[in-house]
Amino acid sequence: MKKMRGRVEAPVAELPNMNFLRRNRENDNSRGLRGLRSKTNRPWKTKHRKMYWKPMPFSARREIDAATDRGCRHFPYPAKHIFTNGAPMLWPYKDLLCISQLTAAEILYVFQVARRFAEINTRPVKKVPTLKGKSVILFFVEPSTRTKTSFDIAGKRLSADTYSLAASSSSLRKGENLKDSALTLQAMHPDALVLRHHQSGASEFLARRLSCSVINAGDGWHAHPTQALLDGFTLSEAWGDDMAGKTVLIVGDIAHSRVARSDVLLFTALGARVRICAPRTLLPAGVRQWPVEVFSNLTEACKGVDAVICLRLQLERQKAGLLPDLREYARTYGLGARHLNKANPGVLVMHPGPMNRGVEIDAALADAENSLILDQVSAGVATRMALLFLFLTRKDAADQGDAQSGQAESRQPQSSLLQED
Amino acid sequence: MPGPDLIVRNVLWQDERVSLWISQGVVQRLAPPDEPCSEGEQLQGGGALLLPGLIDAHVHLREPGFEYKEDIASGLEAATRGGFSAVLAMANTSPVNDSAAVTSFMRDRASEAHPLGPRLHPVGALTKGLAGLELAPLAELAEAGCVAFSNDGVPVANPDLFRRAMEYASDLGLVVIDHCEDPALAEGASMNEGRISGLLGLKGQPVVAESMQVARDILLAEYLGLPIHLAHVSCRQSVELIRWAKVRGVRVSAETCPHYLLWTEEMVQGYNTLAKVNPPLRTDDDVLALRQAVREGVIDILVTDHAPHADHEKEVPMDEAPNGISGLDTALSLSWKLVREGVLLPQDLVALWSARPGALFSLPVNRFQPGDPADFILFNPDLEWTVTPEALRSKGKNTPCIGQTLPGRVVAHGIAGKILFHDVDAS
Repeated sequence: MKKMRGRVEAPVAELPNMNFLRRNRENDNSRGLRGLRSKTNRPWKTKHRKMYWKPMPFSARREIDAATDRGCRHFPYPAKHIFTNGAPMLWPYKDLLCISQLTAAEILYVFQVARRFAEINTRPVKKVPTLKGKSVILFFVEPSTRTKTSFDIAGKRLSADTYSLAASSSSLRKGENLKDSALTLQAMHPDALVLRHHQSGASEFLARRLSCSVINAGDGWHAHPTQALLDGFTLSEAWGDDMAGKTVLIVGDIAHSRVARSDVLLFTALGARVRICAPRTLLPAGVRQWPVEVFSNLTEACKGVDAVICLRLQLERQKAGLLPDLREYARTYGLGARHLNKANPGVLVMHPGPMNRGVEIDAALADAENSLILDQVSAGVATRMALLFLFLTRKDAADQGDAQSGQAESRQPQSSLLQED
Repeated sequence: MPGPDLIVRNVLWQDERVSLWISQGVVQRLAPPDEPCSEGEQLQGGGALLLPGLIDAHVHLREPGFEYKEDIASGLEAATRGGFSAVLAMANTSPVNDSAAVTSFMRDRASEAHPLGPRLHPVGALTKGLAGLELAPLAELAEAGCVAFSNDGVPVANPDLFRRAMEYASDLGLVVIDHCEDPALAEGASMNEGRISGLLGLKGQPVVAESMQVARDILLAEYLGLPIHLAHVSCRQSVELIRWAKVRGVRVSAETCPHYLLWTEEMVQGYNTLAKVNPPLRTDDDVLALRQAVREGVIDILVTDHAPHADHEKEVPMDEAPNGISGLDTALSLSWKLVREGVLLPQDLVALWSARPGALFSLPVNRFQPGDPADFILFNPDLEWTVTPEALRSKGKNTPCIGQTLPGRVVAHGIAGKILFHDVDAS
């Protein structure tokens, strides 16, 4: 297998039991395929093998058991939880706040699960009963249509009940503070709360106070972990999971971008080299200490990169005096074909959306063949399905009786630990 | 000579075991510990450190207007327990202390709530309503009892107005205290600008927001030949400017707070709103520079910048949280922490917390010379205590010390020879 930084040298983890993905009488509402089902007791030998999950060969299990016994120093919890055959991995986190809480192996695990779920999105009937009976509140204090819809679709395809709450309709407008809003929602016993908020740290604020899972769908300038995971998933579909040797360039308003912060953490964790390119006024403080190369010239920055992520330029930035005007920004930092000539062959272009065509990205480039912008949207649904699945079933898996789960559950993201002086 | 009313027995003053003899509210003398005397009340010090009553030249007592955060009674109660015999209360109340009526109200409230002390010295607003547009009636305020003027919390952006204010205040013989902050550079900031603000995605306040105003004030003070006092200095750049100014003979004095000497921006990690303060906690390098400045006397005094807030105001996301750390209860313990770390000597505490602020603001100071006001505290440096909301006398529980164990407690406090409290169990 390929060698990867931060990844364990162990046999490829077999996926957890995902029998729900099998078509069976319970969840298969599509009439077409039922008649085709073979009577064989080894369905993977049939021509419909794609639909079945092959049990892990015995030899692989032995290796995994050996790895488990050795323990794995990359993981602070027993390796058993990652390499569990048959049961879903015990997802160690209550909340998803920031990419920095995830190890490389956990990120790749999310991709693996997402890859499985992506298939559901292409079925004629796009629904499985996996999360039936779970409720997810989509609490979007900052308006957002795309991320919210993506989460909504992801939840509904897994049969979770999703409830949307927007700031304009919520009591936050009536002067209720965030803590009280959250406690009110908590009292309704949701299983997860997806939060979009305009203030950095809002998701961590809620995660500390709520017993349900809090999934950060973007907080201020701080983090947008689901976007980073979907960006990573999109690229891993193109490149494979091993990103060592690849270079990713992020162009645009890094200072005010939660996507940039999360992307830098994610791609660095997966072994890729990350570059950022922005005018000095749009670079965050302390960027020299980030694990990135910083460029101010887009042509230079594009030399030898394998993927370029353009960020949306918020039009307010110009009013705040950070930019002279949009035209000048488009001239110097708008990604065009002329920049990509310097990049590696097969360079990929991404954008978290919504795009300002002709500002941060050349209008034609967005539609070009190497543009993954729409793939990102599809990947977003799959990734969010995977995340909802992992966060909403983690308790169920723990309840099924692994005594060691308590240890894993007590893990907290490092950033939430208060520093003693 | 009349006999003493009160004898504080068995206390340590400058490493010597002494007893303090007090008569009619003033110090009679420091006597040998066992010198017999049949007259007067006896207070057993139990070997605690004897220190003069401290002066805190920068507190916010929130009354009038924000009594839910703190009121004069609770603030002075915290001062009593914290070892402060006098506090200078800033003017950002509601209504702002820009008229004799408010000044008198504050003084009256203090003497009603705590007739024996601690003493409350109001600081008058420099501009009307702290708006930075027109001068406040400084003479009226001085007459009503203000001991200094400051626009603390809302720095004056207009240098011309600030110059006129310094000139006008000089006629009254009072010092102007400037909160150094460039409002444009500091706008919307929740913490220091640097590595951590970049990672947390918070808007940072660069050090130049402070140091530019420090430079402005120093240059104005030199040009006008007038004194200026710089509030809560937090960074190396400011320290170096002040050092430069003092070498040139500019009449500049400066203060800093224990939190700038102990903590850095790391404290904000995890969006800890209790560590949100203005100016913000800075970096290791700034802490080192400030520690050196305090030792060398470049920074003249320590203050608490006691800024109490209600719990619910701090329990919000970082951007919304108000600035401030509640400091009166913990200041002396934090200062003793600096002594333990070898940053300060015990006698530095006397200078930083009592002698120099007294001299700067022309307040009576106890130097334990005969005739000095008998304001004293007994401090047991070995007594450790855990900071809990209940342990704080202030209404503001907003300190990042919550949960920490701090060294040293004030076990007794006397003002003008009257004992405010004596914690017999603790001593």
